[in-house]
Amino acid sequence: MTEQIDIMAEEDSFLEELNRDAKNIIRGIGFTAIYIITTMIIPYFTFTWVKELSIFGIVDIEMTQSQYDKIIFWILAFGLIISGAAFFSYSSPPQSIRGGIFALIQVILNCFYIWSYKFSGATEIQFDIVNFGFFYLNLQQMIITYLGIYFLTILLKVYDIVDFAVNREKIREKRMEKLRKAKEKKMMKRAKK
Amino acid sequence: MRVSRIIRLIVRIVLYVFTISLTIVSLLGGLSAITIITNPDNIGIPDGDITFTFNATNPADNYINVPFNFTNDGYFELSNLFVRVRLNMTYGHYSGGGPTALNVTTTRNIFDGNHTINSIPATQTINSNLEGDSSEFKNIPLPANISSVEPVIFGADIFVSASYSLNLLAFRVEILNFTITLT
Repeated sequence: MTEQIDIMAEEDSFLEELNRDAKNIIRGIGFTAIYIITTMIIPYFTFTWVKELSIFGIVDIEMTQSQYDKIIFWILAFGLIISGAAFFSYSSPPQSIRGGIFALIQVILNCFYIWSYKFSGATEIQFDIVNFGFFYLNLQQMIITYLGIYFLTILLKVYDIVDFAVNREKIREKRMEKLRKAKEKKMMKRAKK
Repeated sequence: MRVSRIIRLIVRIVLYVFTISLTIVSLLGGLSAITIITNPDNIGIPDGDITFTFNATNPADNYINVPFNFTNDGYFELSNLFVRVRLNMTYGHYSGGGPTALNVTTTRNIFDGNHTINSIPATQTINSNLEGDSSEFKNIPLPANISSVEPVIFGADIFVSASYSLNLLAFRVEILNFTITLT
């Protein structure tokens, strides 16, 4: 009987581990999808919409094709890298050093992504108002403010890595205790049955 | 929960508040800028006829008045509305002297004036004028140098700029070579 319980406990622990890993992978895929939508799909459709806007209700304005191509290229390139990094960051176990490092990499990539708006020319978009003149939209101040917030996030991620490294044992103990309690609970239920 | 995690949670919440506020302000600001520029009634520059008198013989008579209106149809206050009018004169004159003199066309800038309005609250409309008297006209060619063969053409370059959403967004419109006739 005890042998049977031991085998079952072993199977349970394997399934639990598998379940936990699957959960992490699903979480990673979910966040990758969110990043693909927010860093690639939404900006792509926004710039495509802005490209051929009608100004003053009567005049068509056009963003130059080369500027549009450049902006879309950099947004998609960095968006893709960020989305990839998001998978590794969010599929790592919570409060792990691995997760902390990938989160830091991801924030730095986010800074590059935002900065790509600046060097691709998306912060000062120029439109030709056909046979009339030009229209300029300047978003530089907004991008700089976002970068400020991201800088604070980088500090937070560095703090996380230091915290995870210093309190590694405590975090591990807590994780193990949580697992042990969950296992005990299951065993108790099974024994009752 | 560990103390370090509590500190982190507080900082994280503050950062989320910053990011969400900035995103909302930016989205509403962008939407407002689009709302303003896509409605032809919002930016009236010039709003009606431009009063323009020009006399090369008697420069004291020179005068320009450009009426304009601006409606802030957005969600936030619009600040630093700057309107600039640059007037160019294209005229014919003889280059060189004697029988070999050539009739050439020259364009020179004879007026450059601007008007600034510090702020326009949301949903408000302002009506104003950009005026320039003889003292602001410059670079006027001597009447003897203006050929009667070529017609004198006056064209204005109009620049309008403003900032929005706590100066996070700025836009500028340039209308080039807008033909002006004497009144």
